[in-house]
Amino acid sequence: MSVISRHRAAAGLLSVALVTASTAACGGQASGAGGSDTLTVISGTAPATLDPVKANVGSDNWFVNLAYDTLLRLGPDGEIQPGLAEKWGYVGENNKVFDLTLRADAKFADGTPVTARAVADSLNYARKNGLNSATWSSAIDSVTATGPLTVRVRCATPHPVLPMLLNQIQLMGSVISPKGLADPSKMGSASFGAGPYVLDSAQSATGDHYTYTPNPNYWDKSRIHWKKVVIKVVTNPSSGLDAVKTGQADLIPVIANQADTAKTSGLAVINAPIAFVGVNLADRDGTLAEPLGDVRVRQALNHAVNRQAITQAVFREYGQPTAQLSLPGLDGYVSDYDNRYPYDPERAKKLLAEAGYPDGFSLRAEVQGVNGFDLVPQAVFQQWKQIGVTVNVVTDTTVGGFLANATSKTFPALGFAYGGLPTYLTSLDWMLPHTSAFNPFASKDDKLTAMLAEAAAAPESKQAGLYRNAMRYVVDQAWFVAVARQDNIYAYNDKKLTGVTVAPGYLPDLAWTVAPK
Amino acid sequence: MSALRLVVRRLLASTPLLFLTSALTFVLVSLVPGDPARTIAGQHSTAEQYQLIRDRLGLDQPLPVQYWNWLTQAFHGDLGSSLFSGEAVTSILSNRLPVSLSLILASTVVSGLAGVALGLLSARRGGVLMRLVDGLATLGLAAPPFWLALLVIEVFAVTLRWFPVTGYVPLEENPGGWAGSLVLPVTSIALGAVAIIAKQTRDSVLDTMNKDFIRVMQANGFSPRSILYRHILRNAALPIVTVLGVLMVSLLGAVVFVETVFAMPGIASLTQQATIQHDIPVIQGAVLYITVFVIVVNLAVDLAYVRLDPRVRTS
Repeated sequence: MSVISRHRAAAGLLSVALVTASTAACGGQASGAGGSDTLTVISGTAPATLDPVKANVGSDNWFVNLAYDTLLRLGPDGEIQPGLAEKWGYVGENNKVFDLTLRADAKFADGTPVTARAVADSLNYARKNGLNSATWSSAIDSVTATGPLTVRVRCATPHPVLPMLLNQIQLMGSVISPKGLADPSKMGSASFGAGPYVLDSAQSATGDHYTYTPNPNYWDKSRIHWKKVVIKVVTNPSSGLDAVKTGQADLIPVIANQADTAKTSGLAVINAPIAFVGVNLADRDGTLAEPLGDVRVRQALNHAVNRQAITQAVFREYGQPTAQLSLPGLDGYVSDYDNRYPYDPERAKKLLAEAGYPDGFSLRAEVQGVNGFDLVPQAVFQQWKQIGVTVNVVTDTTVGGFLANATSKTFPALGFAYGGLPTYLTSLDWMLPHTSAFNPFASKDDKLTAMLAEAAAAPESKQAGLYRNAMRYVVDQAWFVAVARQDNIYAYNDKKLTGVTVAPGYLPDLAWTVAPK
Repeated sequence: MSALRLVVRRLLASTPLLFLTSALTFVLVSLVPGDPARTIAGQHSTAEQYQLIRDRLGLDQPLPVQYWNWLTQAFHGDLGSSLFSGEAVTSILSNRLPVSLSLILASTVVSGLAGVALGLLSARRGGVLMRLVDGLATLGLAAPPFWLALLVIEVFAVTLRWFPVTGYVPLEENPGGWAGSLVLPVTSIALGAVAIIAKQTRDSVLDTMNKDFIRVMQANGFSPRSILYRHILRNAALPIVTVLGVLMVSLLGAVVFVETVFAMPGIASLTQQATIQHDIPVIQGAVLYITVFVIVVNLAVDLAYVRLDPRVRTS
């Protein structure tokens, strides 16, 4: 080959590359979010699993809810609505027996009917294998089909919030078909539900994007608003927001410091409280850190924290200071307890002196360095220094590492971020003497246990008041230093979408309500 | 030495490397604190549930036994399955391999072509162009790919909307879309590399130009074009090929970040995620693929030497 022709070949290759690139550029722009029939949303994390009962509540809900209908449905107003079950309610007193009547016309995506037997089998699978079952459904004794369309749940101890457990947020009520239960390992690559959509595995790639198409056998076709729903996983927050800004996607959860950018780009931004964050004073008997055994010390640690300043710094207007473990709208929320411990270092020092620690003390603490969960606890530790309390912090970089350390009973204090739940569910993790990552020493307070038992067995009309009393009591005992409520924030294209709503304990419902404008 | 003998010798010498990297990865991952069973079991699990998961995953067995089990399976082409999704590691990796390979190969081709062209031009013309290449080289080296990635996204994806912000389009699905999805990631990876290769090319070419045999050829009336392409460039090519080979392997680091920023489902970002999650089978599989890639690149560089330099062939 002559020198010239070689030289030209190289030049030719370059120009081919440039031409392809420029054609592609036009293609890329035109494709956008896939047209008006397709809903494209961004998730910051890939689902841990597509098995509905093993998936993470919160981050994995979209992936599960599209393909799996739940027995009941939570509305943005906090009201429970019918789902696969038309009627439901406790039988007798004490909240121990719960009946569900299924709708007659519901079918799984494979065409087989949703029977009471199938529902009972699915709930029993969830009880045995569910991610949260060991705690949230531990009270349940049996789930049986009592007729072709009736299911009975029996509990050993009162379970007052079964309707909340069986809605689309907590995932345990996602009904899996007999075919799915026959080989649960297949649930990773296909869906086996009775939801409005089915997972299209040919158009999905694990960890990258998940495509859902309408379920032809769905019982309420008016709920199906899209020909295709695509969930695209983008772990880098700014790339994800850019994708929505440029029309590549329509909806995305964002973090507080992205909200302004989203607004100035012409996107709609909505928010509502989702979780509370702070420091758990887990060693309430003073086993490892003796001072924590004294309630005055725990209260001092609460008074030493400037919640307003920390909340403003970390969450800006997307967070509110609080000292309790509940959210407005949930049953245990006590509005005047957000400011139960006003910032008062002098009072804190006085309380420490009364307890016999005028010069403060030091203790070990563990924080989770994932998703910025360590920011608030670190700020708290800084502020404790002014009353002489120093903290040796261990930061874990994985969730598994954090959970292992949290339950090892070697850390008297633990940073926490915990989603807002009905107080009955929160109490199982935090307030009752069961070992958990939030109560590793299984702290026991007989008065609190009795208050919670009374609330759990009470009729619905009295529950909220009783749970508020329990919340007041545990906050007075200063079992933890809650600092702030954190908002769940979403940015979306409101020229294309309608029905995007968020509320405390409620996520935008892609399966039913997010629709084209 | 014949090329075939070289290939066989190189491959034989690489086998211990495969064992070494896989064993080393196993040990390193086990030293990192964190427990995949704990993550899978979640915050509400009981001690029994947690223990069941450990048993199922074989995490209670001694480390050498775990490694031996992995190794024997690997020999049969079975790299196990992800501790989290349960998907076969070979299937996960084969879905993700084309993404990372596209990025690395396209970046190498683009930086190779553009770098050599710029280097040659500046060697021949000198003056302003030479200083410009030097300046660009400094800039390219100083500007890290992650910063360039954010910059090109802001300009070409968000403001001008010429290219998509995120995502990868498989080549077989839509060749145009594939190229489009690669333009920005490859630009951010290749800019620094272009600068390095341009400078290397310029220096090697200038170095060769001053050699006696070139002067003799010039004195004998060979055409300048023939001298440049047939003799100077060929002689200068050895160090350039070396740099390209090293670059191709070192691009893996940049690819980790670029895959994350552009949300491209490649092996580099997978390895990062799997490491955070402690998903040992996925990490082992990915490291195996990456080691094979490095071996292949080194082999290709050696073969290129053989082709370019007769002295290597006869030695």
